[in-house]
This record gives sequence, structure tokens and C-alpha cells, in this order.
Amino acid sequence: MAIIELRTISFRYGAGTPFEKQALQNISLSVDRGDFIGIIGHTGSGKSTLIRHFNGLLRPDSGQVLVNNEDIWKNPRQIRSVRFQIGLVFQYPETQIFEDTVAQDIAYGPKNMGLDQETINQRVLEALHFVGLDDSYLDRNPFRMSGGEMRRVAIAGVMAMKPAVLVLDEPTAGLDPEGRRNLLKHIEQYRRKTNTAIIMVSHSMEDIAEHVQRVLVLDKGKTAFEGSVPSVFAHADELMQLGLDVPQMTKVLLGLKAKGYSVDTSAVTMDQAEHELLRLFERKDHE
Amino acid sequence: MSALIETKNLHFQYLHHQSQNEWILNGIDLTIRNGEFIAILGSNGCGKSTLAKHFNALLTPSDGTVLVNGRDTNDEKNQFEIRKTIGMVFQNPDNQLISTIVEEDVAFAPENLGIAPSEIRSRVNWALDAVDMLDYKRHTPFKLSGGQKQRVAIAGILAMRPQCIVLDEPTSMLDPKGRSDVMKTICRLNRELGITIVLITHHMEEAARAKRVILMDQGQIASDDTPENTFEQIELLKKLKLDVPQITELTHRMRQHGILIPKRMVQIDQCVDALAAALEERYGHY
Repeated sequence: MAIIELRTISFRYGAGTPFEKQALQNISLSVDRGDFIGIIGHTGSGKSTLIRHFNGLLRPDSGQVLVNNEDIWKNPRQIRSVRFQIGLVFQYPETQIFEDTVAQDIAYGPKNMGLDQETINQRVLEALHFVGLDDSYLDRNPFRMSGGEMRRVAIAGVMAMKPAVLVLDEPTAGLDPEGRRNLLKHIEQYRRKTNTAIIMVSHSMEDIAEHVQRVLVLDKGKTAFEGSVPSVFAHADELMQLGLDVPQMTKVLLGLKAKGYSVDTSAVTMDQAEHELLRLFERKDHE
Repeated sequence: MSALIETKNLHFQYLHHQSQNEWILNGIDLTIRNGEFIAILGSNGCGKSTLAKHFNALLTPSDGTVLVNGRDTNDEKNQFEIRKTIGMVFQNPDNQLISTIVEEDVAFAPENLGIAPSEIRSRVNWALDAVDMLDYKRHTPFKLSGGQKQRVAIAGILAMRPQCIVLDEPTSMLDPKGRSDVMKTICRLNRELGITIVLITHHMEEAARAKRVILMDQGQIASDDTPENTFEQIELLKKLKLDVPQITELTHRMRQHGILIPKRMVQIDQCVDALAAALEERYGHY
């Protein structure tokens, strides 16, 4: 059963004004527990508008958003409870940190859920460990930490609410390579341990290739492609026209194909490309 | 080639007289010559942005000297001239654009330099043309995409006719198209106009397009070499928490499997050509 489902949602900004703009058109998406989904699209394609629909920050003009098979807008007064189930991490979330200690900042969400202190403490610790920080961070001032550490604290704050779906908008932007690798590794471990569904917006085709199972490609507010990673990156030319890209490894294989070699271009990660190239070199040995 | 920027035993710490902290920059000796294209890589907090801010006297050394065209950045009398010579572009384009019209924004610097209006107009047109944004000169910057905004920011610097542009992670907030457009612009400015480029980045693929790569670690220079040689130092890169470009890693793996393709490759085209050549060599023309 889908944990969250979008049924042909459409949304306009400034409806009824001269500035009216169709931001989303007939988007459908179904996400199961434990899914890892990537959303890509160029600036202005509607990614951020879309993720604001997942937890009811925006209300679609038409179509439905279902969480656990229930329309979240059936009772608009209860929209707040949806925000605890669908955790949203915005771009540069470290700018939203405001408490004096890491522990207090992570506790902010669970506290708002009305949990008792003992449960809160337990969740804070758990979330801190999920993002790869140890107990020594609890009493530290987040404003004296590095950008990468602050970002992890901000993400832990959302994890501490134990959402069923964690939505991340460009979680690795501006991090150095190790920070990027590290954060993605911890998000992946968190997904495996808790079976939380992850939806990640990213501009890095390599990160998408390496981590997600399914990709949604947005263009001008519409679904351009949706499907498994190799099936989406198979549309290399169209993706480039949309201002996107394909992973570097796919480009190498496409380059060889253009030179006339019969190579399977569905490889998107280093390991897959290595495997495919070896096949190319070895198969010819037997000819 | 003459030296444009020279740092000698450069040390820096904020309020260094009162601070007990370690140096942020700990003895940097570096010479940047006219027309170079340099990439600076390093993990968060290694001091690369701090170093960049010394190049146009936004920061001045706690100890040691920085010379721009032979002028000491510590001398306030020189700073105006230095900032005309070395322009800076930062990460977030939204923080750098101030006008409501693109061409006005680009005219901001030359206006402040007291240049004649007719000359300003020709410089603005030239600068916008150089970054391929001339069609947008009457547009409002706030409705442009990130990559377009960043190119307008670069044009704003270009209009001062600087010798050098220092870019601090100019693509980290951009989508793939924006990133590739900005990188193309940067490369073209260096190649066609001979403008010296210092590019700070976290993307190994971008650094691979420079002609010289500097690796920084804890306020010191850990390596200063061509991209091809730099990315061969896999152990050092890992130690500095950096990456190897995927292309370099792929060729490395292929070599380990006994497939004879050249080392030191950083570009996709090079790699494809080398693989094709290796296949051809083994099996004759396809």
C-alpha cells in the first residue's frame, strides 16, 4: 500500500491575478514504505512547488494528495498532523537552526508533537546517531559547528519526528565531497533501518544514479519521465534538452555507442560502467 | 608570463592578536601569473575562501605579504586599484545583484569607477555579450534562472575590465544546465580574453578543466600541479577528504584489469577516445 500518493495534482500560483502561473500540471506519484525516489528538473521546473504538496504546505487546485489512503485535505483543520508524518527538509536547512544546543534544536519537533520528556530524549539521541554524530555533540552550540555538521543536525531534527516519509531538497548542495558522501551514506542507512521512504531533490545526476531507485523528471510543471534510474537516463538527448544531464559514466558509454560499438548504455554508476566495459573488452576476445 | 598575484609566507587569523586559535592560513607561498586558469580544491574549512579573499584585499594578511601587480594589499592606498584588477564572484547569485534591470546592474561598477557614460554603455554591452546574456539586458535579474543570474554577476565584474576573476563556488547552487553554462563562460573568458581565472570548487569535474590545480589542507598548500598529475594522487586526495573525478577512477580501474589506456585522464571525450583506441588496437577496426 502506498504511504503517500499524488493523484493528478495541478497547482497555479496567483490564480485569478494577472500573474497567474501554472506551476504543476497533472502530476501523479505513488511512494511505498522504504522507497528511495529522486526528483530532478531544471530551476523553475516545479520541484520545490511539488514537495510543498507532500505535507500540505500548498493545497492543489485539483487532484488529491493521499497519505495512508486518506485525502490530507479532507479535514483541513487536521493538516498539522500530516506535517509530523511527512518530514520536509528544505534547501540549506542549517539556516533554520535557532536553539543554543544541538539537543534542544533536535528536540524542537518532537516537543511540538507533545511527546513526554523521556521519549523526546530518546528520539534526540537516536536521530543524532542516524546522521552520524555522537553524544558529545548534544550540548554543543550548533552555531560553532561546521556547515556540514550543522546540516546534519538540521536533518536530525526532522528525523526525530519519526516521519513515514522524509523529503530532502538538495541535501548535499555546497558540501565538500566527503561531506556529501557521508550524508548520503547516513540517509541510506537510516532508510534501511527504519524503512522510511526517502524523496530527494538533487541536481547531481551522479548522486541520483548512485542512490535512488526511481526518478521523477519534471519539466515546466509536468512529468517528463518517470521510472527506474536506467530507464530515465536512457533518454539522454531529451534530458539534455530539458537542461539536465546524465551521469558521467552513462556519457562514456554513449560516447562509445556513437563510435559504433554495441554497448549497453543503461549503466549509471561506476561499478555498472566498469562491468559493461569489461564485458565489451572480453566478449570480443571470444569472437 | 608576469606575476599577477604573489603571496609570501601568508598567515591569517581573525583578530590574530587576541586569538588563541590556529592559523586559518598557515604560510601560503603562491604565485599566480597573468592568463592562468587555476582551480583551488579542499574540504570545508581548509581556508580556500579565506585565501581567495586575500587576492583582492577583502582580507589582509596577519603576517606575510600579498602583492597584486607588485602592490602590497596591506597598503590602503593600493586597495582601490587592486579591487579593479581582481574581481570576485560568490556562491549565491541572489546576494550579488542589486539593480532591477540587468544592464543597470552590470553598469554599477563602471559607474562607481567614474567612467564616461558612452564608455559605460559599450562596456556593458561587451560584458553581457561575453557571458552570452546580451538578449536579457532589459530584463529583471530576479526572474532569471540561477545560471543566468550568475553570468550577469560575472558580467558585472567584467565591466570593470579586471585582469583576474576569482570565483568562489560559483556553481554550487545551480542546476546542471546552469552549471555547464557558467563553466563554459569561465573557460571562454580565460581562453579568448586571456582573463586570469581562480576557481574555487567542490566539483572535481570542474577543477579538471583548469590548467593548474591547487589542493589545500588546514591552511597550507598540499599540492600544486596540473589536473592530470593532481588526480593521480589518489591517496592524497582521499586523505584531504576529496574525490577523484569519476573519469579518472574509471580509467584507473580499467588499467587494473589490464586494459592499456593512458593514465592521467580527466575528460569524458579523452576517455571515450582512449577506450575506443584500446578496443581497436586489440581487435582491429570495428
